[in-house]
Amino acid sequence: MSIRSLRTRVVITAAQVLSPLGSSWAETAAALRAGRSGIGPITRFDASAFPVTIAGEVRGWAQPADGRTRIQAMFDHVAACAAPAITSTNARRVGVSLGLGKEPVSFDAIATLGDLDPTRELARDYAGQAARLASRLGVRGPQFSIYTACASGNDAIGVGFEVLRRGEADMMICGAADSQIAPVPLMEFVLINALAMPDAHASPQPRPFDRRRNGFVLGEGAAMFVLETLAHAAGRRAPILGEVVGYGASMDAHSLTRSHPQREGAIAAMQAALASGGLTPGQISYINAHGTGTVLNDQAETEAIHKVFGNRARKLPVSATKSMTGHPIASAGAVELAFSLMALEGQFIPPTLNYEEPDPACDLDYVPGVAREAPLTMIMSNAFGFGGQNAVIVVARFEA
Amino acid sequence: MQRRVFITGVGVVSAVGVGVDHFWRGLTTGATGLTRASAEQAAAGARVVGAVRGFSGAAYLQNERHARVLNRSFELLIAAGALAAADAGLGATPVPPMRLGVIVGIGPIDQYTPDLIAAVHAAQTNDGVDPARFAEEARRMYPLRRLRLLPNVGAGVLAIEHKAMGPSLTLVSGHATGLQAIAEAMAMIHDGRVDAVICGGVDSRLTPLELRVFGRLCPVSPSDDPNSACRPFDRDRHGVVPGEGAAMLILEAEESARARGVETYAQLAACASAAPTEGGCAESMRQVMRASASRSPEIVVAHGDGGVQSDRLEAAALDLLSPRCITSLQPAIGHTMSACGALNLAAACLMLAEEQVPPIRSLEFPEMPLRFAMDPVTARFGTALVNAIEPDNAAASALLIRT
Repeated sequence: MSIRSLRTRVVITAAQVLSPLGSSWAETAAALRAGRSGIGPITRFDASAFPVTIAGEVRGWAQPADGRTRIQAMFDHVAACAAPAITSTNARRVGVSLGLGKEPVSFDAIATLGDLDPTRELARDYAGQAARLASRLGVRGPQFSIYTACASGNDAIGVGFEVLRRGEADMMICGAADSQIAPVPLMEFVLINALAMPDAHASPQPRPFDRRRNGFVLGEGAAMFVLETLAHAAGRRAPILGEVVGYGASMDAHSLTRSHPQREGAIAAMQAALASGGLTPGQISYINAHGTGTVLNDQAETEAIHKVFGNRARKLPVSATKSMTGHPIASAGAVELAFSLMALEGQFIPPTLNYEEPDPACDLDYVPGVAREAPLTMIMSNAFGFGGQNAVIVVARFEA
Repeated sequence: MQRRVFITGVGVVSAVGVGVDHFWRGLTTGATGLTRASAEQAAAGARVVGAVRGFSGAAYLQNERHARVLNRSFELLIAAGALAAADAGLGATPVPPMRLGVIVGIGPIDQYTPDLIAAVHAAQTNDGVDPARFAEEARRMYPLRRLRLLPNVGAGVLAIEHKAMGPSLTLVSGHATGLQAIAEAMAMIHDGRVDAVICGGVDSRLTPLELRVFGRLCPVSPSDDPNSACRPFDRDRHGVVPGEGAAMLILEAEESARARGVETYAQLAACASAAPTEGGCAESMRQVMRASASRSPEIVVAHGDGGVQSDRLEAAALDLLSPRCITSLQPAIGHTMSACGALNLAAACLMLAEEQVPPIRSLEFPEMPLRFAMDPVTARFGTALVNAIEPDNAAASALLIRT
């Protein structure tokens, strides 16, 4: 008997995503397959005088002007997919696990700091968001509010997965939302040299794994998933979109912004994700890379994939959907899990856009330019963040 | 059979002292760590605060470079983590890096720092902030500002300082988040993902703006007398005193602690949490007591924040369990927000080890006839239960068993 069959199986029975590729599942899947870019000029504020003027803004959705923060409104939009799964009888055993972006500070707030409305600050605070969402959905199980930088989305999903495997809940509503496309965070990212800057090349674009890459492009987005035990899903005859089969996390414990020189942290997280599902590297059909387009991240991720996958690495398709969406920061793992579910559903590998000039330091199959049809059974989704955070999710096509 | 989990190190930064020795002396000698607030704090509604004074977290760093990213919460956190790691002998007999995790519960970090305010004010025109001017002025902001503001960077520094390459989470859930961090650490050890975790809670929110926000969550005591501003469970209580602090613990699997040959403070037998409801605290306590052979905990380190309604609900829940001895740290250190549950657990470890329960120093007329510690209580207690309660009555509890 394999290790996996002894463990509680965790399946995904509902999902929704909001990203620069669209606001509905079908529209987003079509854009992903068509290799459409969601990057464009920043419209949310006048960025014309900023060092960076492009971003991946959410499309097909307008933030309602009703007092909710943008992040709250994005959470509510994607969390609606969970409502049909909740009943008065299961609500006690349904929890929430969120990866939380923080609503950027506004100029208005700073101008009136002395008499700033505390309720506005509470709406921006991390604490309270999980309780707020749980109360909107009417669920009373365990609540987690997680911030692990760019790994937040994967950690929120991973924690939900672990909670279900431990039997502490029957269903976990897991996901993340973030939007840092605002003047203050944009300049903060500029100051740490994280963003793709205009240079000798044409317009700055996210160019993951390309020789000319020079930083990431800010994105935004949200995604939410209903994770539940297979027994609970079967009991209510829920349609199954996929199965979460592995979660691994680690710390680089080396530098707050630069990857570990021997890639130990990223390697450990990928290996832990495989081990958590009793999986072998050979079972992975495709990797949705963290692939931000920064010089060091992409090289480090490439080297780590070589270490984990050995001889198979060169044949393993690896793509960076941040080339289409930009980097949605804390929600990256969640948004990209939605993309992986679409890939499993449609049996295609999303492409890496803007990949034109190979870099000898990045020598994997990055699926350049156009999506590729392929039989996919299991996808690894990487997320690596500031602070040295690494979190990896493995999602599989469901097979009874 | 689940692996047993022990506490092998405790590190504390609090208004009554830094390090377990000073903390314990502060709790047992009876002087409060609460002091009169500054005029700015008082204008924001808090006339007494539990501040950590004369303290620099950078002094606890092995790698001084990281001082560049420390905010006030990180300073408290790094110190508590260093003290806990030293207490558990992690330097002399390390846990393998991949088997050591870090889980931190932390409060929000103040983003309204002088560098940002200066940049915005410099770009202010009669028609509001000029974006182009701001883009220019913002280049003078602190370059590592982003890292200073990300809650997980504190855990990142701890991981580097103590060579912890296992899983790490930063939880930002509110006042119960420190205990939740400890609960997740215990679950990770049970699941075999790690052998030991540096875990706990930290918070520092004593700027005028943060105090005004806190005042929206909890009823802040109007008193300006540090000795009686916080009076948990007293019929004359009148509110909460905001404080700051950190407690980090080393949670460790039994076999790892044995192999390293370290002493243990106590066994962490159970952790639980409950959704917001008036009976949330009763529910979380009931759940952790299932892990114990008896129905009643011997010591309870209550949340006991001195709020009129919050103490009434907690006392009613405690009444159901008939504990032998109830105490609260808040008259000594204030409401340490995201750190309160971890500080309560740290104190409970010391109470079991020292065989003494410090009294609720400001309690004179208990509203309910429970067995509150009115004076120091000395006995060989077998169990200690701790609580942390959110303003919406969501609650977390943990149970320690004497070793």
